[in-house]
Amino acid sequence: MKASVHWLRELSGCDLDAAAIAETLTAAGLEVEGMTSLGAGLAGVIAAEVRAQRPHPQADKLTLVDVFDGEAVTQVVCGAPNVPAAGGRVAWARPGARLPSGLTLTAKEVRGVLSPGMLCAPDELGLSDEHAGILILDAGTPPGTDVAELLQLPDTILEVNVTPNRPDCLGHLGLARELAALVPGAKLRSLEVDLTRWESEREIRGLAEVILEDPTGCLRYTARVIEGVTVRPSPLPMQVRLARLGIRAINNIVDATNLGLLETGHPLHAFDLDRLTRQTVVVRRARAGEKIVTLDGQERSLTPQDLAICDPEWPVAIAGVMGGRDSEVGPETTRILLESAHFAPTAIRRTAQRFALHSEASLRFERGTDPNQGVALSSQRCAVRIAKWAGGQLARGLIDRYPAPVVPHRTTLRSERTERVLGVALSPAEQVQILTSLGIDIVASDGTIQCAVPTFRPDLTREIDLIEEVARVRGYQKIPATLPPSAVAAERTAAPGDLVRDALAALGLSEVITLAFISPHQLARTQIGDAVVRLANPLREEQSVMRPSLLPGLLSALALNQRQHRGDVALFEVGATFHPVEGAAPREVLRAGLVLSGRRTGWLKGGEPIDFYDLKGIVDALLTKLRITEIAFAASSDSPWLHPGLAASVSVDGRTIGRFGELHPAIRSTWDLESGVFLLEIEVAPLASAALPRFKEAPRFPGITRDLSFFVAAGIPAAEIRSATTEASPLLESMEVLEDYRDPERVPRGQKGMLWTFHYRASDRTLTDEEVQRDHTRLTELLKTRFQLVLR
Amino acid sequence: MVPDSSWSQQVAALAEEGACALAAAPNEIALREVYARYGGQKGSVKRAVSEAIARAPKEEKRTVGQTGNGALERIETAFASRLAALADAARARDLERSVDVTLPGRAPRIGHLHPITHARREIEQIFARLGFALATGPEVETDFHNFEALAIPKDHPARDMQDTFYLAQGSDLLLRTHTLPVQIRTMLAGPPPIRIICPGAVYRRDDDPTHSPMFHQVEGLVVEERVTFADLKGTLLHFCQAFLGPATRLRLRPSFFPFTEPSAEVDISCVFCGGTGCRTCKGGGWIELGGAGMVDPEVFRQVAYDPEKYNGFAFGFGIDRMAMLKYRINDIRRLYEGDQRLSEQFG
Repeated sequence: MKASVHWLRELSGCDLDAAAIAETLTAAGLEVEGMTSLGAGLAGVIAAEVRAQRPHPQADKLTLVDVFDGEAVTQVVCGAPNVPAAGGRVAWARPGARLPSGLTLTAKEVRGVLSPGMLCAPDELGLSDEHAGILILDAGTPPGTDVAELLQLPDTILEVNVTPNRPDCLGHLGLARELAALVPGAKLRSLEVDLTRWESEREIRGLAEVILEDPTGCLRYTARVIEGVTVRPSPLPMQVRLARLGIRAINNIVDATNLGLLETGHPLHAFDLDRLTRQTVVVRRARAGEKIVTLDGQERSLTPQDLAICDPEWPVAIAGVMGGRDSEVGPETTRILLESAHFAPTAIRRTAQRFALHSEASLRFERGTDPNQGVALSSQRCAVRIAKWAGGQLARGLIDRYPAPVVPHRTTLRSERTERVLGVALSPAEQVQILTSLGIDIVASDGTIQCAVPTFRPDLTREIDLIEEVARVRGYQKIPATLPPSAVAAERTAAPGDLVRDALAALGLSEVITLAFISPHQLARTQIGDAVVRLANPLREEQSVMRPSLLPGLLSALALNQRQHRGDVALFEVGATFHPVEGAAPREVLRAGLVLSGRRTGWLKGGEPIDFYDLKGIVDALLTKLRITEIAFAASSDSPWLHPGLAASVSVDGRTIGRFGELHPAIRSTWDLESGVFLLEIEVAPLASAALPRFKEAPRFPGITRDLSFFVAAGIPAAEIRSATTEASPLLESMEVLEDYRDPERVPRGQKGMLWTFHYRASDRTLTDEEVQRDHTRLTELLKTRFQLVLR
Repeated sequence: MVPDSSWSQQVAALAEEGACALAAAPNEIALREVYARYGGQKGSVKRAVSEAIARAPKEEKRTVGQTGNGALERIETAFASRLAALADAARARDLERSVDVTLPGRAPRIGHLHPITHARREIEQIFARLGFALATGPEVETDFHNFEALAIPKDHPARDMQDTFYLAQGSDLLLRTHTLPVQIRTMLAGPPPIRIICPGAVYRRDDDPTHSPMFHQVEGLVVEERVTFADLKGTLLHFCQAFLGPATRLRLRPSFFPFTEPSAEVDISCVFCGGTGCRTCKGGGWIELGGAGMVDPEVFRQVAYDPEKYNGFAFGFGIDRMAMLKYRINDIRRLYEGDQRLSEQFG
């Protein structure tokens, strides 16, 4: 909300400067997010009466103007096209006057004629950025009046962020009340007005009628009637005040309601009484099919959910949201019905949302207005303003439909509870003083403080709310900073997935974090056909499904890096994937995924292109690092996203937990990726579950190595040969494949050549050649029969 | 009768020939070949000496033997000295090698963690030292855990389709908008005392240079018999100074959240200007970090805790934002593009 520091000072009696006021409000929870200074430095400009004018002898566009300052007549040169006729009032900056621009005026010759100072345009006064002509003051302004004072300058406009619990601060009165409570020496000015001075003999009864049919949607409806008004522009100082608070001046009647809204925070509405059938207002829910043309010229269809202000025939306003065009105050209006009411926040919110019509009024009704003082005070003050500015008279009395008056809420504060919550001791007296300063009535105070909370503070219903008020007004900065009593060390302090992150980073991959919602199109072109979890309201189609796999995100990242001319890419991500479950919340699985592409590291230039075994090496190292031993790899041709010949599955206890291999060439081309792309996706939970390692003594006796070179059917995987040998000899410690070659010149068709090396060792003695030879022969025979090896 | 002296001369001549050949050997391999010819038990000098001794008259054998030994020694000496000379020459050549030390090394590939991971880890460690355990929960949440239990009313703007992502399968399921549901789940799972932090991904329907529709938050919760707003303040101050440096100042401003009371906005002195005012802090010297407050009794009621017995405080802020402040990253979207050059800057 925009607030004028000038106005706040006037209402609160607080004399701090704008910066201090902003700081005070911010520290109390009313954050000032912006400040605009107007007319700072303006001094010595006065109102002057135009007495005569004549053309400048040397220049077509200049005028010589005789102005009267209450004592003497002086001739001033003016370049504006809008110098008023004799009797008009203008703002004259005399020699010695200072303008916000920093300029101090002197008597100066303008094209051969001496001009003592100048007549000012609005921008020169710091009022606005308007420079089309000089500022014309109200006709009755006494010559010699200080213009700065008249236009409430200098002023600073604060942009206050009012939290939704503080509807009372959506008006200057509420903010001023805060300042009065927060600033020592400040005291809130009373806004009560004496209506009798403005009232006529005519009773309101008989002039207008209000029928409240929906007391749930409308708690209270009041109406006043002002007769004999003349609709015209409102006084300049009021137009100026509205303009700087962001509201366009319209006419004296509408301006009075808007000024009332800005002052008390309570919205008002003025109807042309004579445009209401039988001068009657009916407050009811709209009927299905009813239509209204609102003030913005739009025709809107109402529903029975919408609260409408009607005359006996049709809706004349959408309650609390916007008035109707047909009952609008216009130039011919002479009689006003002034509405001040309390509407239920939920009803207003629903309607405002449905029409996407968020007006100054609906904002306040949605947050909750004050049915007591708010309704009454704003009505009185607005009625008086209308009478004053439009020359009308108030009909005597008020129509007040308030079937179930709201009484101040009673609540109790145990003064020692404040210390228990805040951690700082405060005397009951100090707490009472703070609550009182906020307008809360203290009913009794004997250890417990019994409070009657005024209805302009709907947010204060519980003890804890009052404790917050005490803390807020006293100042959060005065509460000490302590640490909570020490606790036992926390049990779980490492995030799931961090083990895997560390291992992959140690293996040379860099982490990325990609958005968890992806494009269905990306999934399709990655040939991932899993069922997906869809968003009802995605920001865009490309982010409309929750990823069932990390791979599309990683491929996008790869594509981005390749576009940036980064050929060598090694990325990983650890994150949740989402899988629909019939009739329940989706299953979330934490996975790790990685993508490799480009070349091995070389010196000065890249090494060989990476291949399947670079990826496999990373998988092996990852599992070693995480101490996962009971794991099985198998060729796997059932992942459509992988090359069928370069694809593997990883399983633990017979369950597949991951897949890896080279990206299918067809998919690679649809993604427009360069060079071979290698991928892994694996579940994290099985990787993070290794048992504690148990120390094993490293062998101390030398071992003996035997090689075996043979041809074998190409389709027999190394793992099968390996597992066949494990039982062959108790002395066999380990074995490795040294060669796997398949070139047709060296190898019979359908076969592959292999060179294995076997390490024999005993933990308790040095082995003899004879015993190793015996076991190695047995192993060789076993493999020969089992796999039809042809030894080389 | 051939005089013994001719045997001696022959042996000496052979030794001379061998010594010369050894001295002329151009490298160690050649040297060893020459030595194999002349020296050792099977070499020609030894053979010549043995023959001379065999043929010499008995009384001269001794002299011949002495001469022969001298010849053998000559060969050994010549071999050793040539070997040493060759080694010296080789070392001298070796010492002529040099490199351009300014060329890059042959680097093993090193990996990098994402700045959000770095920041999250550090945050977790700071709170672990204060006794905060780690709690995590699902990213798809129910309306109850994300809103209802936090006293966020049904018509609150945050529950609007404008701000929250809902699943197509049913309006009760949504992408969590904060990690507060983890706090609710923790409280529902057991009684106090509780001291946890909940880091994780959260989702809101925003997308601009300062907002990503997915980002990361960490939230903390303490529920104990004796904790106060002053403890909340102390905890946050300790954290901010540990994470952003000991000069960091903290400011709490009253604010409003449905699930805490009293509530506060947490500001820290600007990390860029130290609080004197700059473009980042819009001249004010303070940067908004997040929200905090004492757990609202209404939340305790939802999880069946006795608000008379227990007090609680909670706080939350963006991990992304902390990382951006600490590492001076200016556009949040850079964090989620997947550019390898991002993580590489963070060791």
